[in-house]
Amino acid sequence: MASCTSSIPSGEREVSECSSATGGAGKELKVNIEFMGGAEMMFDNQKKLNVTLPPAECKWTIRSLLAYMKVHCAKGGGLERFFTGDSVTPGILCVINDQDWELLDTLNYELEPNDNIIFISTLHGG
Amino acid sequence: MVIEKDFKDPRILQLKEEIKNLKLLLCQKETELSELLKPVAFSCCHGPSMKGASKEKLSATEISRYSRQMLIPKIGVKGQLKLKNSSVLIVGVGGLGCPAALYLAAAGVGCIGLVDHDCVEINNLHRQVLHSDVFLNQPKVDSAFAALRRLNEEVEFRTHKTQLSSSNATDIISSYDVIVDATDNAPTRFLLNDVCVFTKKPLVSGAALQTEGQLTVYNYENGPCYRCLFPKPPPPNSVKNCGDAGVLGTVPGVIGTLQAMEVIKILTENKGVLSGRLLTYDGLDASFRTFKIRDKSKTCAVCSESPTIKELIDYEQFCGSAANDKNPSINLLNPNERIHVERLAELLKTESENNTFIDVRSPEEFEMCSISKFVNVPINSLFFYNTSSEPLFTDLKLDTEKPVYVICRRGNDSQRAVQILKDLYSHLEIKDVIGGLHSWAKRVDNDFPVY
Ligand SMILES: [Zn+2]
Repeated sequence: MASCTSSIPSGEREVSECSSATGGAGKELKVNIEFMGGAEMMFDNQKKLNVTLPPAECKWTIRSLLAYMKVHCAKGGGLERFFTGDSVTPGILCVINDQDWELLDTLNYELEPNDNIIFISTLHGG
Repeated sequence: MVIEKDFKDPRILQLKEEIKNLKLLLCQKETELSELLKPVAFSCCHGPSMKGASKEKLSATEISRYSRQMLIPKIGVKGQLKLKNSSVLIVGVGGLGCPAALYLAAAGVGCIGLVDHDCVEINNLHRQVLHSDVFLNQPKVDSAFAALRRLNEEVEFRTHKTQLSSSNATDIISSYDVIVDATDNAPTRFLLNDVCVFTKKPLVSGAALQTEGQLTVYNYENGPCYRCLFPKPPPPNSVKNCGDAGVLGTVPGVIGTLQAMEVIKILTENKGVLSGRLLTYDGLDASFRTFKIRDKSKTCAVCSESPTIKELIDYEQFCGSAANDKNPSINLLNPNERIHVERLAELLKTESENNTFIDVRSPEEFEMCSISKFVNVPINSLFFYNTSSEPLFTDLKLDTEKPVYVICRRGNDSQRAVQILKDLYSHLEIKDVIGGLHSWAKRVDNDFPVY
């Protein structure tokens, strides 16, 4: 199991829509990330990542997590196969604590400590 | 010590040939018999055309044959009769379709349709378990038909040797009760989904790649459809197929078998159908997981109350990729940046010391087969060098003055590699080999493995 922890001060992170300071600020946030169906290819073939997110001025969301992952966890070329805009590429499902993120406000879902986030690339082979 | 058999023994060769011919003769006779047994009026799968057997009753043979599954209270005589009077269409007779068809035929589904336009290739046999050597280069539907008929003559099989398309899909699908998506590409998956929504058929969808599989049921009762989950098609370059990424045969074996299970549950009106849930199988981890997925989307382009798509569209255009799992040839380089395999053969023979030869396939592929004098530099590592801009040739201890020739499997990645290398080493002469190792095997070395 790998981890990717930031060495960059949180002030330098590029996190959009970080407008209001709410609860959870000022503390590190640990979440577990898993990849399935080949989504791990853009993350050094690590199927599981323990990510410690640095203290932030506002709550971490899936949107800001993706921005963080792009900078700190992704490796090699072909990142457009995982990241598109501020979201994931079509064909990739996001599951938060065993539920489709669509049931949980997708990109705006606010992360809680020890959340389990799975990115599933849909397969087409047969 | 094992004594090696002499496979050149004329008697062995003679027997092999005789057995092959007998198998073909057997197939011919079986086909002739099934033609004679075929009902005259061949209206559709349902109804009395079915082998003339009774719809309402099970024969003594049927009771014996299916007794072990009929003993299950959730199946019983009622469930078996439902199976007998049902029809299932399996789209794609490959890694998923073969086991799905096998179990559905064995379970006594009354009518099974098979759709596939491909022929059996040798690289199919490790996972497409209905096919065998005798049927190499024969249509997959014929091969599957022969194998399934031998398993259960009571089932009516219908073969559709065609590529499912917007023009024929509705006709083919309309006469079946449940559809099994055992295809291998995105355009056909979207097409199948839309037809199933329009014709109100449940779609049992499976997929497999490398050591992972996925399964769900779309368009069942009020559950989501494929487009509810995937409103936009995946970008073509993000889709991996079995021919490139590989697949372990047991994985589609597991998923195809589970597809048959879902079909049986739907047909026998049992609860617990995998609708609104996604099942994933990780073979290496030996784990099955099920995730709750979204409900039917109120804004779905096909299955919502105000659909924007009301008829079948051009799915290859929609997905930007072809409705098969083959890779089209690309053309990125000028003709003077490319050489033919014959020229490569000359260079290897006479000037191998004055040139650098690079094979950009994966290490796994390079280990399977390679041309001597070639050094393996996987294209993925080039992408990495490209981003980190570290000097590649010092790492590899290759000569930075000699011209470079790049080869891959089919001549696509070699062109991409030439482009990357030219950015890094603009002073070097760098060319790719047109058609890659497939051309090499065809035109220079016929003994070179093709995969
Ligand atoms: Zn839908």
